[in-house]
Order: sequence, then structure tokens, then C-alpha cells
Amino acid sequence: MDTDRELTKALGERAGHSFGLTLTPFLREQANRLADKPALPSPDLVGSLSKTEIATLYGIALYPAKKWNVTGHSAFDQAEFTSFVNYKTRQTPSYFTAYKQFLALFAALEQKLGSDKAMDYLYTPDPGTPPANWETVRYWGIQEFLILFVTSGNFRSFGWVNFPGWMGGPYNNPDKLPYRGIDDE
Amino acid sequence: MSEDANVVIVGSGVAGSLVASLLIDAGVSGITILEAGPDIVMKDPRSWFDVVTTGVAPYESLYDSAADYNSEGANPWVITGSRIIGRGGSTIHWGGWCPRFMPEDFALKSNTGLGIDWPYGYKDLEPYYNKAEAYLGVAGVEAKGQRDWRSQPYPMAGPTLPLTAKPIVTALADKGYIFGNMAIARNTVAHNGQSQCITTGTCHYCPIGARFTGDQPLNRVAGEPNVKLIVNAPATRLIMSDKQTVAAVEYRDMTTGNTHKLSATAVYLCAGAFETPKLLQLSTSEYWPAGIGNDNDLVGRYLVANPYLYCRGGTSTNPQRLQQELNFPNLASRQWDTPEEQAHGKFLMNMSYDAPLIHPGKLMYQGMPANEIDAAVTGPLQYELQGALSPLPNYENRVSVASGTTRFGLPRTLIFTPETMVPQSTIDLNGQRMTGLFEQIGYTVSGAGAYPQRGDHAASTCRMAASDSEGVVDTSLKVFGTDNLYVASNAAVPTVGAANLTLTTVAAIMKAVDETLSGKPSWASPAR
Repeated sequence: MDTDRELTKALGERAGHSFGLTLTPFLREQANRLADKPALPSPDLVGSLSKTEIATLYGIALYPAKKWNVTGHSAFDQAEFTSFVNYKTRQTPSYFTAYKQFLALFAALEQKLGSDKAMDYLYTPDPGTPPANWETVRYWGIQEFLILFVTSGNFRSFGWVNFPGWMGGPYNNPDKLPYRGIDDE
Repeated sequence: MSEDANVVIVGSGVAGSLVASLLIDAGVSGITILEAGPDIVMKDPRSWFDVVTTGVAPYESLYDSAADYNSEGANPWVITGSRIIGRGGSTIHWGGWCPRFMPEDFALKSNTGLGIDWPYGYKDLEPYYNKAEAYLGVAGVEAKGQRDWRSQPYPMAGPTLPLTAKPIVTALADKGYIFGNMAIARNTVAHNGQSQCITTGTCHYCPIGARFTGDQPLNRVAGEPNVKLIVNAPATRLIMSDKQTVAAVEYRDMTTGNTHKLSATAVYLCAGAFETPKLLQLSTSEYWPAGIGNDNDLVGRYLVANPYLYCRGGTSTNPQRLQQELNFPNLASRQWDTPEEQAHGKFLMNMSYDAPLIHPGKLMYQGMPANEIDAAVTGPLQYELQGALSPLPNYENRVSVASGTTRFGLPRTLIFTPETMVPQSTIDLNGQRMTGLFEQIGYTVSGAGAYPQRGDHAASTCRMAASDSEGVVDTSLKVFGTDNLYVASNAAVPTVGAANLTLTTVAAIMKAVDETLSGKPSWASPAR
């Protein structure tokens, strides 16, 4: 009960989306601590990644298909991913610096391990001694790419017809529902 | 600084935007809406991406923080996450639940000796329920013999129940209990200029505006030449020119820090069950030394909200890979939302729409291999039944002003609830009922109880009554003892049923505005 109460209170104090109201540095720090996540680096610094940089991130974002053998259902195309990255880097809170750190870390790993092993390394939660910016890259990069990977159609591999975050379509025709209806088996 | 308006509306949520819409439709001009919070970006692709990938919606920084209120009493309320202080108000994040009250909900005192009766009954409000459902865009499925009888069909058909509902439906049917769809303000088809729902499963931030949110009517009225909406503008005081007449609203511009005086010929307070009584209490004068409408010390009293219960149950395997694919409210039962339960708390039960729900992406992030993820998807299955209780009003439970000011420029809130809103026996009884449903289908129950008391459906703090000895406003929602001051808000709802009250509040406001305009007040003249 007390935990629920504390979590509910913490919900109101998350940082990142102020929309006309500026959170004090104290509140922002406290919110990040309460949410148990690394701070998003330089959230006010917006910018655009190059096509090459976005393509590199897209390659990394597709790697779960290989690692988890999730194939045949993806609607996870590069155009949508590019749109996602641009929204994340060109607006605040901006992921521009976080993605730059991501790309720098991947480049270093790729040089050391090769492309496939570098990607596998990024998708492994505990790599032993973590490299610089590891928590930021994992939290703001890898985690969100995995969520996007699943919601962008790959949830079908798990037997579902719809999933939160997927635009399933209208439900006004009971004979063609965008989810499994009560009479479906 | 002094400014002029004809009608001032304090609050831009579902109530404020409704009043603005109704007055504009009646030809009233010179309307200024004051909103304490900022604008909120809606239907925004970036925000939707954030909702999908982080779970954080753009309005969450507009919740009350723990520092914004004091809460004391038998079961201290936690209102963080309950309301949004911003353009469009709390329907920005609501689930859209729109069940009607039951007929007995309008006669609590007659039936139980507790609380108060509404000054009118279900049959008087029924025509306005139809209008409210059309306004909010409610989709529902009419049940045969339902006691909240209706003279018109739902504006839209409700969605087919999902496969995930099947075990619970089986339990309800085996027990012989009634059940059906939860009526929701979600567009089965395009409605009121808003898109058709495309089942994104992110209803708390719809990327296409396919469920009703308070910004939608605001957007429609914003184009009117005689309507002005000022955000970041908390109202701080009402100024009376005599005992009966409110002459101006004082507000603070949070972007400059300046205080403004906005003269008005009529004022509607649409600021919810917390801010509305606080503003009346703060507006002391020689005419109203205890605050406007508060000569009988009733402003802020009888605070209620629905206590919310849960019961979790499950089984060891999930071969059908049941998952809440629809992800918005659907299955509900009003088996215990009856007159027989009224004296100790009626119960409207629903199936949680976010359990069972497994996100494979989060399991991948934890490093779980494919075979283990598949085992998780087909393995232990857990449901949650939930439900709202009708709260029993008590004079001692109260909202008032605490010392200090919030980041929105509003006075901090004191929520004092020395009396519980239902007896513990009611919580236990309904926990047993939900437990019985799980046991009916052979599921193991892992826990049942009441959630910490929230403030989502707070109400009755300026309740409507037949006289000023019992309440704060009359049936037109005008504050007793005044000529031009109205409370159009949950605050005016006299008693609350087990059903979510937004639809009923909207219907009551529609009825009240009709009553007011039929009296042809001078401020409502189109010629002004």
C-alpha cells in the first residue's frame, strides 16, 4: 500500500515534459532518481542525424529479429524508423546527444568486435565492465528500439492480433475485428 | 490591470468547454475562459512515440505533485495522477467511461437516510443523458432490461468484447450474474468531427483524437470571434459588488506575474471539486465573510470520490496466449450496483484492461532468451477485476485551502477526510464477490483489497440542493444568495453512484444551462 502511494506520488514528478512550465533542476534530478533511470543527456540540444547515422541505428534496431528469431511479421520499415528518430532528435526533450553517444559507442564496439558481435553486445544487459555511456545507450536507445520493434508488427510472432502502440484499424465491423474477439478461438 | 468580459468561465476542462459551447450556441458573446494550467499538445506524433516507447504522456508533469497538497484523515487521499491542470482538463487523460447513474442514485436520502436527494430524479435527467452521450460520443451496447433505462439508443455501437474477456464472462454467466459492455466515449465511427477509433491501445494519449477529450470542444469554440481562452491564468479571487452580484474575477498571469481584474456580468466556476470550493472560500468580503455561498459552512464539505477495489486471480498456463489486445475498458458488471447495496456502498465491477499484458520488448531488454519469452507468454496468466464503490457522503470530509501556492499559482489544497466513505465490511464483501468469480473458473486468487484513495472522481463539495440549508447551488447551479454566479462542475453533483460521474455531470450542466437560459438573464442576451 505504501509503495503504491509513493509510486503514485512519484508519477507526478517525472522530468522531461514541461510544456510551458520549467521544472527546477532539483525537481528534475529528484524525478530522475525516483524513476530510477539515467538522465537524458542534453535534452534541450536539438539536431538532425545524417542518413548514414539513422541507417546505422536502423540496422541496430532490426537486430532483435535475428537475436530472438522473430521474423515474418514486421512492419518495421526504415521510413517509419527515420520519422521516429527525427521526432526524437529535433524536438525536446531531445535524444540528439543520446543517439550521438549511442553511435560513438557502437563504432568503438564494431571496431573491436565486428558488427554482429557489437550489436549482440548492445542487447546484452550485463556485459561485465560497462563501457562509457552504457546506461544511457541501453535505457534511451536499446530499450526503446526493442519496444518499437515489438509494437511495429512483430508482436504477431507471439500470437496476438493487436498490441498497445499498433494502429490496428477500426472495430466497427464485428466480422473483421482488429483484435481477437470473444468468439474467436 | 483591468479587462472586460461578459461571461467568465473559470476552468477549461470538460465542464468549462461545455458551458462555453452551450452559451455560444445560445448566441451569448463576450466569453473569456481562464485556465490555470498551460496548453497541452494533443494528437502530436512525437508525444505519441514517447507514450509508446516510454509510457510517459505529455501531460504527466501537470499532475499535482506531493508538495501541492496536504491530505489528512482515516484514509489519506493521494491525488497525484488524478487530475490534469491544463487546457482541456482531466478528460485529457480519462478512460472515457460513461455509464449512467442508476435511478436510485438520485434518492440516496430517501432510500437510506444518508446524504441528500437530488432535487430531481433520473427521469428528469434522462433526456439530457441522451444529449450528453451525443456530445461526448458514447459507444455502448444496450442490455435488455437495464435499470438505467434509455429513451434513445447509444449514439454509437460498442465494440465486441475481446477474447480475453471470455474466462470472466464464463464466470459471470455461470453465476447467473448480469454483465455487458462498459459504455465509453470512444468513436466506433467518426463522430462530432473527430476520427474513428483505430484501436491503438494507447487511449490515455490517442494519436488521432478518437476519444473525447476536453480540448476538442475548446478547439471548436476557439474560432468564435467573441471567445477568449487565457492559459497559465489561475483565478485567485471573485469580487462582489454587493451580496448578490459577482462583478469581477481576479487572476494571475503566470507568464508575467501580473494580477488582472476581469470584470464580468456572469461567472461560471468549472474548476472541479477541489479548486471551485477553494476559490469560493478565498473570496471573502464584507458581504460574505466566510466566503461566497458559505454562510452555512457547506462550501468544501461532503467531499466524496469512488473508492476503488481490486482482486487478482490467475492460473498456471495460458495456451491461448490471452492478452489485453483491445486495451481499453470493455467488460463490466452492474450486478451489485443496486438499491439493495445503496446503504453501504454499491459496486460497479469491471475487468482491468491492462492485465494480462506482457511486453516481449521489455523481456528482451532484460536479456530473456526466445524460449523463455514464449514460456512467459504461454505460462502463468493473471487477471485483475476492479470496481468502484458508491461513496457515502459525510459532513466532516472536506476540501479547503492550505498555506502556500503551487507552481500553477493556485493555493495549495487541504484534503481532510476523518470519515471513511464506505465501511470496511463493504470492501471485504466485494472482495469476496470478485474472489468467488475467480474460484468459479478455477483460478487462484493472489490478492484483493482497496487501492489508495485517489481523487479522480472527487465531487459534491458545492452540492446542488433544494435549499441553502442543505447545499451551495440550486438546480440551475447558481450559488444560493447570488444572482450571477454558477458552479458547473463535479463539485455541484449532490451524490455519487458507483458509476463514473463525468457523463452525469455533463447531463446536469446541460439541464442547468437550459434552465438558466429559459429565464432570459440579461447577460445571455445576444445583443450584448
